[in-house]
Amino acid sequence: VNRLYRALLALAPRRLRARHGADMEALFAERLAAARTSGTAAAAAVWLRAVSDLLQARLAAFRPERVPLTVYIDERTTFMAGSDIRYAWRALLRQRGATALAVLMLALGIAANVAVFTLVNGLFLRPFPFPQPDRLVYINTAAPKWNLDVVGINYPDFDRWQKDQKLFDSLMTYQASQFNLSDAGGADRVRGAAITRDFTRVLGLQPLLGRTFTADEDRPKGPPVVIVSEHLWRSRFGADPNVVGRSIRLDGATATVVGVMPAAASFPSEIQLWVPMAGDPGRAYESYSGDAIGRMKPGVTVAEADADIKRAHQPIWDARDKQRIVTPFVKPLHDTFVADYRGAARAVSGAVALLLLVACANVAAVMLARALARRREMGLRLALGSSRARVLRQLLIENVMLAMAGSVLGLGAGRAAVSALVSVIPDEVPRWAVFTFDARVVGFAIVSMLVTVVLFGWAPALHAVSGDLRSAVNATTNGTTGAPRGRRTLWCLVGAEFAVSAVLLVCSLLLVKAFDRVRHTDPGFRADHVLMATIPLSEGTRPKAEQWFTFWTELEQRARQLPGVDAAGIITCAPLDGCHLGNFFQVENALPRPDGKNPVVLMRIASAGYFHAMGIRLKEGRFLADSDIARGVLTEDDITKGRAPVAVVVNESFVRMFWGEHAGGAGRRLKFNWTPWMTVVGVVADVKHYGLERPMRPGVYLPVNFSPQSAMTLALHTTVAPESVTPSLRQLLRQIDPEIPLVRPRTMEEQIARSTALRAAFSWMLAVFAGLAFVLAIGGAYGVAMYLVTQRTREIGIRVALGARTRDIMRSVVASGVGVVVVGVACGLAVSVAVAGLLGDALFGVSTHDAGVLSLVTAVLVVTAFLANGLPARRAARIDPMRSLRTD
Amino acid sequence: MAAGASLKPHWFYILLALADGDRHGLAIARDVQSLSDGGVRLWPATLYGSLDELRGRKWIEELAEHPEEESERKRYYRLTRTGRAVLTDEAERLGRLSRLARSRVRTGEAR
Repeated sequence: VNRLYRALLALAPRRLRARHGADMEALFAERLAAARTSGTAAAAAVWLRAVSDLLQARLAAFRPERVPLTVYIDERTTFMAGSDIRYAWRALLRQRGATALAVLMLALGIAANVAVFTLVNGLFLRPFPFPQPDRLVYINTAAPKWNLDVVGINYPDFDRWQKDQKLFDSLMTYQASQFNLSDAGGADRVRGAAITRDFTRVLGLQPLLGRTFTADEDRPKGPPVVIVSEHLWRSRFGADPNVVGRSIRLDGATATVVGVMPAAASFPSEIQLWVPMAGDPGRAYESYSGDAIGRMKPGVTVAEADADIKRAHQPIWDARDKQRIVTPFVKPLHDTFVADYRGAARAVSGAVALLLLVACANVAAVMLARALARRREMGLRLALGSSRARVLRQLLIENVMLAMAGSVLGLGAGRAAVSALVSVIPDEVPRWAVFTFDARVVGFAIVSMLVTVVLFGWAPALHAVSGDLRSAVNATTNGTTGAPRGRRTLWCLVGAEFAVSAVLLVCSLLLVKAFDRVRHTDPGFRADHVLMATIPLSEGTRPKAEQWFTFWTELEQRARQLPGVDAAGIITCAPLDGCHLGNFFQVENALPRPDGKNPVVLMRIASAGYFHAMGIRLKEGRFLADSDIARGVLTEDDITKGRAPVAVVVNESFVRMFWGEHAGGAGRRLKFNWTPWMTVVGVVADVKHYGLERPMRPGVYLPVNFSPQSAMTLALHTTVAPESVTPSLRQLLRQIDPEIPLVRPRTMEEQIARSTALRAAFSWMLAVFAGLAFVLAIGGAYGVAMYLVTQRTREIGIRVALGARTRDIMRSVVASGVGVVVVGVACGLAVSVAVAGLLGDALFGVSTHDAGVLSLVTAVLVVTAFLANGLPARRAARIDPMRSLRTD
Repeated sequence: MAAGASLKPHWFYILLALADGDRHGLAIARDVQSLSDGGVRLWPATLYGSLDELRGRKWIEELAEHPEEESERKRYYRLTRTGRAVLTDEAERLGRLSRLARSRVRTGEAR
């Protein structure tokens, strides 16, 4: 026990320890013995008190002591900060090259960390701009039995929760959609949401102008009212203070503005206007869509809230969901929105931390080389009566000055990097995230600065004051091989740099390879020369499905005749669009499901031309044909009474899942529970609907006359560059109806690039950081080798004078350097296999010990190690023995 | 020591312990604990750090020769004249303070 306390005494200031160490131990032993009689807890408390006591003494030793001059002056303990700083400044200026290099390397490491932290801060740490955001939770329903994580909110269920919950202050449900907003100035497509009337209360916001919705407005067939966002109010209504009460045209109908909400309310996706949800609690299967947010009462935990909603849901299970298919869940709001970014954020943060480590190792090497060169100076100062503490303080001040310069530069560079990054990938940045420099970012920069001081400062400091003074002072001649411990530390630093670089290079190359693999995944359609555009019809001006069908048929036919277009088709849910419309089918002669679950099927409604426009491959039977659609819109009677046979096309996954791998699909039958059997006329290749790296669900295509929609996507196959067709398409649409906007015209290749943009950004960021670490490591190895060669000038001179050949000298120099690197790389590779395992799904099936990547990294690192050591070695070999021996 | 300025409590107790006679560090620690009814416990670094500092201020001094029958390596300390003056000042200050407090409390009760 006493030995432990003796070890802890190292915490105390040196002079105290030297003078009173034994007495302090005795006092501590007495205290401990007394405390032991009253139990382990008391003994532990004594240990804690003793440690804090030692730490306090240490802190007190650092604190400038104001001693009255008349009483006592101790030159050595007086803290002459001003002169210390001046001295440090001069020391740093004396070696401008080394100082600039150190500052730049630190700036690089800190800039990368600041940039990534700003992203992490914006996504994860910044609270949402609502009062008490931690009381907000996300509510939705899941259907575990159907493999659905998120089903959507059924309004009657929500209504029940709202009435029966006990632990919430308020609840809201919303459904984001888009609206055609038109007035004399033209038609615009704006993001909007249908919401329940409590939304201002849940978010804790007050309208800037006017009011929120009343209960009377939030019910079926309520008056048409709308609340607009601050942004829309300023841009569209010129910040008119009398906007409340004005009428606007919304989806072809008139609505009255009743309020303006502040910018913070435009959550989560730049919502510009709100209309009442006007749900009907009486219609039990209205729809499962949208999301809900709740504000918990103070002090309620998420788990309690979750149980509360499940309890409120009980009557629904009892009444119409005895199998408990749909289960509500409650999650922290923030978690729900950042879940997708967590893995990438972790990997990138890890990478920049490693980069900073490499930068620090490099700076440590530079500073250590400097410190070794200054051993004589340090030795002299110690010999002249300066205390070791004083010398250390001197070094500390130098280090802090370096780190501060690096941090300021790094902060600026990091800021520039973030704005560059965000402007490059605007679509992939969640719209609610704000990436600004707040106190947290600055705090982070300060902490990383302090960490760097410790990381790069320890080695030089230790070497500067350890060892005996005499040898340091005696080492008068330049070029003797002094300080073997310092040399060893230098090599360790280089080895560690290469190890860390190896880890980063391996991980980033694996990710780049995975990205390449994702990009070359077969999407199931022909991506080139395809133009897509979504077209929403105003249900106000065209209320009937027949009108929609006529519109779509006309649009498709006329679009096909546009110059440069050779195929056109329409679809409800285009691939990679983030769209999903799930349904359940009854399937004739289906194989029994091992898990007993009926899989969710992606339902799409398409025209015959769609398959040709997209180049979807036919596997069996035929595509949907114009003859399948010729009858026009099918009425409910047509379908349920079987008056019109409905042709369907399924994908390969559907056949595999329901009928088996080689069973074939054409001629088989399936149905909704409310229709007669429908016959499969063809099987097509799987389209990667949810993303290139996501698995595909079974899918069904129904002909467009089965159930035309008011908003659909037009796909064109072009013979010219697809984007060049956009103007003529826009003109065509204007000819048919000037009130209809063309939404997001995009080429399929753009769409694919956008769907992989997050992965691309993530992989390339990691690759850039790995590259930087690699460059730093090369620089470090070169610098250290060069320094050591300079130190060995005299030794090498002697060897050359004694007849050593150029080759021998070079071999001896290169061997020591490369040996260290090989050891470092070997350690790095071993670690990287484990680290790469953490990347998990992001590797998209690329093995963590991919032979190509590992051998490439090894080869590159070892070859560069040869180069980095080769140049100094050549210089060593050219040393003129006469001159080197004369060097003094 | 200027009137009104207060002395660090543990310094006061150390001086107080030494006012009774010369002592070594461990004895001071025990004394302080009993003087304060166990309320003030001096931990090693605080105690010896304070002793060094008080010595630096010449309020206490280290005895050159050790009293008999004690082990050689223990350092004994004695209150200097300055130290005794500081202690007296502080005791008077505390006395004034407690008189003031008492009179206030009493007038408060009367009202």
